Amino acid sequence: MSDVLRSYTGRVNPSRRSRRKRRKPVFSTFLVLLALACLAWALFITRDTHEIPRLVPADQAYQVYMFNVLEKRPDLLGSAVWDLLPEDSPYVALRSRWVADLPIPDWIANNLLYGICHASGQDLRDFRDILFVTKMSRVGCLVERFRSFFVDMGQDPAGGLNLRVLPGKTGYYAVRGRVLVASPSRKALIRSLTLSEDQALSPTEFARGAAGAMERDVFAMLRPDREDFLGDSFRTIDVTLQVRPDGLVLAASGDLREACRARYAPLLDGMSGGRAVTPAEGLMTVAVDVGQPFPAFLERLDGLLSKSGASSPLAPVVHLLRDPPDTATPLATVLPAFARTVTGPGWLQWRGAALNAMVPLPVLLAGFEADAAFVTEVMGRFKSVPEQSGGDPNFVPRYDEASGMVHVPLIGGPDIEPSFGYRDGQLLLSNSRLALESALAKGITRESPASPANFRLRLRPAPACESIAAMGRQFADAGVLRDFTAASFKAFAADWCQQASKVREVSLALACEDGRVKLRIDLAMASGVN
Amino acid sequence: MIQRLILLLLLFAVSSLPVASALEAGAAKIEITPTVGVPLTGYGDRMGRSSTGVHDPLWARALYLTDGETPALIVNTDLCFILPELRERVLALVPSVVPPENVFLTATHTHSGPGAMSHRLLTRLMTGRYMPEVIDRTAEGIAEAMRLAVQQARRASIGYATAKQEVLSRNRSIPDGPIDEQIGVIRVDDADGASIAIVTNFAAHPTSVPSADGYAFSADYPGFYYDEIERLASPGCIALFLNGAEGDQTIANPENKSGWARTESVGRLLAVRAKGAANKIVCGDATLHVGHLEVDMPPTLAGAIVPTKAILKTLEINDLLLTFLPGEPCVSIAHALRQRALARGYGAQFTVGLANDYLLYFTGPTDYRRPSYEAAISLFGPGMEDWFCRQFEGLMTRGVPPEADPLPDTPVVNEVEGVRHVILSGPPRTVGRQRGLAFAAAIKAYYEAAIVAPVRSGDYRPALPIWSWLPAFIDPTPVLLPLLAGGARPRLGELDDALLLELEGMAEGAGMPFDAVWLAQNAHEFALQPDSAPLFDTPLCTMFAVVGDRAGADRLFVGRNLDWAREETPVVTEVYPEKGRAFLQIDFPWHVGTFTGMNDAGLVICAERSERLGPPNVKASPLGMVLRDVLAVAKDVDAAIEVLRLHEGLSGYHVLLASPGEGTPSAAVVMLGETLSVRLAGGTGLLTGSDPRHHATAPDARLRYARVEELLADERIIGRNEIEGVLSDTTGTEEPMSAICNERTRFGTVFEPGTRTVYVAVPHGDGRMGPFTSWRLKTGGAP
Repeated sequence: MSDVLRSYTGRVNPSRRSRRKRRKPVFSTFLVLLALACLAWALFITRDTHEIPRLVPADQAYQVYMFNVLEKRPDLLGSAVWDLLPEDSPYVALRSRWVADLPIPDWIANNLLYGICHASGQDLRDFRDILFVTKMSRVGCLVERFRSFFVDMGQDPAGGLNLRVLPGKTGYYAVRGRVLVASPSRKALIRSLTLSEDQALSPTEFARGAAGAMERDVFAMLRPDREDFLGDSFRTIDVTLQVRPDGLVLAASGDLREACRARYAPLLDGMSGGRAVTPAEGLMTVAVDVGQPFPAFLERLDGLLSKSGASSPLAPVVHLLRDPPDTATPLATVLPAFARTVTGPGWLQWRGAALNAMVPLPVLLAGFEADAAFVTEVMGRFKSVPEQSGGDPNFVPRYDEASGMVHVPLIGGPDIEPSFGYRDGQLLLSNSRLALESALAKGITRESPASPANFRLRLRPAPACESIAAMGRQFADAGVLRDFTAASFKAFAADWCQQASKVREVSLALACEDGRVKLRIDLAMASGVN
Repeated sequence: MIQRLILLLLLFAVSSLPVASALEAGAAKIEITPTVGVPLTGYGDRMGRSSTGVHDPLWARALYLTDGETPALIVNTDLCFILPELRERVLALVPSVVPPENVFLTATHTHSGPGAMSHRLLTRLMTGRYMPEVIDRTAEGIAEAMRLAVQQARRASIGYATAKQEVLSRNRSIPDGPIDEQIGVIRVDDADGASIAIVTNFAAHPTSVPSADGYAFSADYPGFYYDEIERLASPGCIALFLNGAEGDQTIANPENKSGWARTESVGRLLAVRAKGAANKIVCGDATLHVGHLEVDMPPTLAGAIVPTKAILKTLEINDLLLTFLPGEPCVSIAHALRQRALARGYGAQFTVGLANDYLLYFTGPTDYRRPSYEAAISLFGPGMEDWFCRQFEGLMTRGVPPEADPLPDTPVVNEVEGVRHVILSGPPRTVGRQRGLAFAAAIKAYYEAAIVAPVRSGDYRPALPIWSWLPAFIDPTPVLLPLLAGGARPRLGELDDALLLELEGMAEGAGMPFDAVWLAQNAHEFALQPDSAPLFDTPLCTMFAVVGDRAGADRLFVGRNLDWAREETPVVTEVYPEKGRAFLQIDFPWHVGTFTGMNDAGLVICAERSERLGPPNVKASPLGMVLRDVLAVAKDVDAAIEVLRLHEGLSGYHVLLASPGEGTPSAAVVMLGETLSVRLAGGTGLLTGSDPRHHATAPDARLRYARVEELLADERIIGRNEIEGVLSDTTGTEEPMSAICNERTRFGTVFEPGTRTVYVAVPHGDGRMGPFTSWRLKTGGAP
């Protein structure tokens, strides 16, 4: 405001004032009306007239559900798990592009991919007919409407379906209400837009998928053809993926086909409520519960393999287990004799490497639920074998009363000496007498799993790689490691171990419950990675 | 007064004489028996299993000597060998008064001593699992023995003697073969005349422990020797045992005993003999000299298994020379070293094996060619006897060392129309060196392609199933190559000494292991074995002779195309050896033998493979070597056939022989099958390598030879031009190699034996034979 005093003289021109007063309502009204019209038009053209499932064929072989893709983008792409990708992988470049700026402004992208994002298709081999369906915000709709300001997009009338063509014909999309449907396949897109109600995905199934995606980052439902991977065995497979900053969890659950259930019934019977439990320690541990004693399982598996026409590779093993030789002394009788004592689940533990053994080799320890009385009886068979004499070496198994072990003096000392013992209801066996002695003395601590499983695997990649590298180095130093010299292996192993050191642990659990197979993989990254 | 003066003068004279410092010596022993359970070493079939007991203790025994200027420690251990891991640990613990290079660390080679002392993977297959604590304890025991020996050093006198024995040892490789009859004895007395130590040098394997105690620790017969000699000598005397050139020596059974009684008998008899010799020694002062050399061994295929550097040491005690070798020399090496040492002015020489390191066996050239365990694991070639002599002569301080044999210059290789030509002359080794220098790259390339590649790919594998069970990540090539070489070694058996020397020279010239060069010579015949993938299914043909009137005034021509699967460029090599006939060969650079050659008597030799005569016999010498031998000695066809008859077991080839004779040229095809048979030229004057009318002749050979006959049928007189035309003929059928000049023909040759001239051509890229170039063999010696 100015401080200058102003004085007005003379008459005010009333006609001018009144004229101004008259014009103002007309212009304002026009502007308001225009704005209202625009708003109405905007509301009209962005009205939510279509539901996503109505545009998704019901017979898709796979469906993938994700919520708030862009919102989750920093968490998803910032996870340490991507550090496992090789540096020259195209995914690394892709990831860095996505972590950085998107090709379009974030606010546009957020409005284009608003809420749920759905991908589906029928081709599980090369995904050529993949169909993306997402719901846009009203802003997103308007932005899409004014796309010509941003991108030079082509038009494809497609008999009135009015498809938009992406530059270079790399894909097509269409908008129905606030739903955007896109596909690299014109045919798939047209089919999506012309579905009858009974051909479209049921809202119930969509709701199930959406609910799955709410709990995890990604939820996928697969319905593979018989020709597809796993399609011969599974009718449907649900997969969820959750990516965390320090790892990921992949879970899958598949419904076995009836024919498959019937075919493998002898093996699947009794698998429910699997009691596979891995030892807590070890570079890698594996546990298996096949719901029946192993010898019986092998016999049934052999029967299945033989039915398919080819001669079963298990036949000699099964024969040996069924009719073990009478005499207790030859090496070949030890395993079958003890195998027949097994009554329940078992596990295998890779404890490390015997680097100073005559030949470097992994130290393995296994345990199986076994019949105590039967084990004692079998061990008794080896009591009468005389202790190793000073003469020619032999491979005769012998019982050592002090340690309670049966061991076979094979080659090279205690680290290459198959040994058998019994503790805590378990038959324990190892390729190393020292490892078995330790296990018998200290016992084996085992995990307490939250859910049943028939198969479990736990791998600690860093020490496992170190162990393999240490063994490999000896072969490389001796010049007998194929395709490596000592120097080249050293460099290779260093890279390999460095990569492995990023992962703290990988675990896998597989369960079979009433004809449904469940798989869970947990990948935990080492702290400090990323 | 005069007497006093004389006395003073005498005192002055005595005091002005150079007086050696007083010898001091000390000896000690420490038990080093490991705990039961530690694996033994020496026999592979123990497979690294743990020991189960102790029969008799193992010792480390040390003798410290110093003449005031040169201190030395002779250490004798009841071990199978001294591995680098132990040596390094021991040398780190040597008393400071003795430089490490003056320590002579030896093993008795008992096969009942501990293993567990190598961390190297391939060595562990013999020594069992690696137990660092065993090295620690053993090294500490040895160090303690050394420390005590030094600590107990006192004024001493020393002397040596040798005794002869004929009944304590025998040659284990050759019945009634040579033995080392010498027992060497050193006695060290203190100032009071009491023995500080008696050292015995005797050559025989300590492998006499009865199998019932095969898993018990024992010093073997040296253990009884120690007991006996320490019983016989004055109290406190330490017995030392230095095994000699025991590679092919083992103990005999002089008292016809068995088991431990035999072991004890030899040990005690040895002690008695040694003590007897020691009693005759007059001890006195001594001057010591230590020689030390670390030298690259000759190249070997077994670089992954054995060290490639050798530690060689000598200890001179007055005029006694002790030579220390890092492995198991055979007796011929001891004899050769002794002969050289005596010639250089030493009073005696003792060879001590298994000292300071372990490089397996060393044999002389004769033993190397004999099928034996010792030869099979001698990994440095047949020239080790000469090599050791040269190295040790360099360390001897008496006499004058012989002049080194310098490498010859690389010979000039000329190339004319695609054919390379080289002239080699001189003694066999020189000729070989020249060949190796000229064609090193080609020889290496051929060896890699024809031997290493099939071994690496698995085409060549020993019969034992374990080699097939190896996991895919294992590449056993570094182990299999020495094994393959060991298998090929008996093929050297009937080889002329000169040829062996030439092969050695070739290996030297090319900078390759002898075994590699020898395997290269054998590669083509290995590949023809039915149980290995054929690398060269070559018939080595075509060849024919025109003899008599049909050859016109020249009276004799031989035409020959050599077909060979591998693309190689031929070399015309003129060889003017020091002994034997000069000859000319047309072959490939790597080939010391020949398939195509002519000597200065005009005798022409060509060979072709004949499948109907079976595969070449890999137990016999390679044919190329035999033919080379024929060229060196035979003057005509008859003489050549006689030489071939001497080589039993040759098979799988036709050999065309032609010679001008003394005015009566002759030609013959010798067929080497189950028996040797001869085919002569018929009335046509044309003799082909294979008979095209014989039903068993291979189809392609039948077509080729029929074409030869067809082309020459209308020629009344056949001269060089006609033969060149035949060799250049490319007419063939769809049958592979049915043309005389075909895709595998590497060169064509016309021999004009009368003038000792050869005409050679190589096919051009279009498959047509290029122009023929002539070379003439000089008959008056090297040009």
